[in-house]
Amino acid sequence: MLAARLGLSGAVLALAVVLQVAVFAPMRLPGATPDVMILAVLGIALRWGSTSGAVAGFVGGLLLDAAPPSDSTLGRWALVATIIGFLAGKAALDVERSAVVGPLVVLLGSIAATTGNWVLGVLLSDPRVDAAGLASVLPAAVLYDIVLAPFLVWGVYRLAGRIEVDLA
Amino acid sequence: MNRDNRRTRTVLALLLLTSFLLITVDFRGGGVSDRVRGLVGSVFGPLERAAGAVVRPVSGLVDDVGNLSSRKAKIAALEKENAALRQQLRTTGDVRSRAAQLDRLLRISGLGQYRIVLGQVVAVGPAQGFASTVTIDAGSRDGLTADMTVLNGDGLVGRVKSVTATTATVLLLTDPTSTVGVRLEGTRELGFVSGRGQRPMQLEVPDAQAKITKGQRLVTLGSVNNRPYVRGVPVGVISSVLLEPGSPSRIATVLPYVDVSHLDVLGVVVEPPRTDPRDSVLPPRPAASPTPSAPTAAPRPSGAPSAGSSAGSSAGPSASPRP
Repeated sequence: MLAARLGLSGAVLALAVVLQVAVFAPMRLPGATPDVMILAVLGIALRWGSTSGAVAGFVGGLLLDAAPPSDSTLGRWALVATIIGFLAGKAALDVERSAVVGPLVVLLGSIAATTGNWVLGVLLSDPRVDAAGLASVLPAAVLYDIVLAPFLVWGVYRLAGRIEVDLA
Repeated sequence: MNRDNRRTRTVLALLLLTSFLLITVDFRGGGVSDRVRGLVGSVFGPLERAAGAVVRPVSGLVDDVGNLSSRKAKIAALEKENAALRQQLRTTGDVRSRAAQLDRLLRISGLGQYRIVLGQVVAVGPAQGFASTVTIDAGSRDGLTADMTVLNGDGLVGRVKSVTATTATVLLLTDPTSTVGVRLEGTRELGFVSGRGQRPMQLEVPDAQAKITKGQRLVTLGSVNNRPYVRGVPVGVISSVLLEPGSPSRIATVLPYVDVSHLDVLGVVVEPPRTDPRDSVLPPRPAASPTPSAPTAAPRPSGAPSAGSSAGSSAGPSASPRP
């Protein structure tokens, strides 16, 4: 059961990272790149809860930190995505009860992803981050995430639903 | 419920701690993070290559749609430029000097004699990472190592930051951590071009007395042992000179020759030029073109043996008829 969950989420996250850097990023959509990895983490967290959300965030973030085009500090995305996965998992019990919860989690998660990575960059005095960069990237990133969420978050959510988990 | 909550908190704390640890380790620099990157890269490199191969035809289409507005602006700009060029045709002298300069640039790349390995861009660093990097589908198996020069038909693209067996990560010259040593064409002034992400690149010339003008072209200065940059690769053109009176150096913005948002096939210099191409950038020696007041009998003034007896024997151009 645990093995099935680990296997499924691992495959989903690896696919999400490849999608993000090898399919969506080369399209050079204006402004930003869709946060495919974060969306997959949200889907897992919304179905399986906080613990799984945090673990999925950590794994997905670490993959994005280390997979080829990346040149940022190892652990940066991992930290951000762990927190996002954990918090999104808190909404796992409510997501079926209200239609607003899912979209709201996606919106907040998307904002938190870009902002969180930016804040960490500032804290690590990364020469690449500045206020103008955040302002130009954030709106586009949120827009793309919301557009893709019905497919990606919902798809992962449905897929994860094949394995029953007691949310307690 | 309560116990479950505690377990969740433990897991969260553990993961956050690990993240912090990773950041600390990587930030201090060391072999551990390189090994993690190498491991993940060796798995994801082939995956990204495969995905890139499948997606490339489709992404070209999306690229066109995404750039529709900018294409329109480009067409307008080109039409304007066309009109300007037509006007310039009447002022032939200017055009001729331009052609000569372009010719020289072409010669640099030709005379460079770099041996390059070609690679196709398969993955791009997400914009939210704030880094300008791409992955190409050539790696250590093809002879690539870190700190090699990357260029394309237009000029300098960047340098290889890291490699896996089948892929290489290229740090683009517009990345804020990238600095390239350059020479200004014409004058032999030295300077540094730094990337600034989305904003235009900046040139800094340490010599406060240096004469820099808009439109001046820049070529790479070349690094020790040709790493990370070989000599004589076109970098860009000065787009505006910033006046900062009292500053210890001259600052200008630079427009790169390479359009970093539309990279496709890149070349990595695996073998630096044998001969120093830097000299081919220089204007021809004065001995080759003597003063026009001496067209005695020879149809070609350059063939006159009397011209430049001091360096005539070593002057390259005079020996051109030699097979």
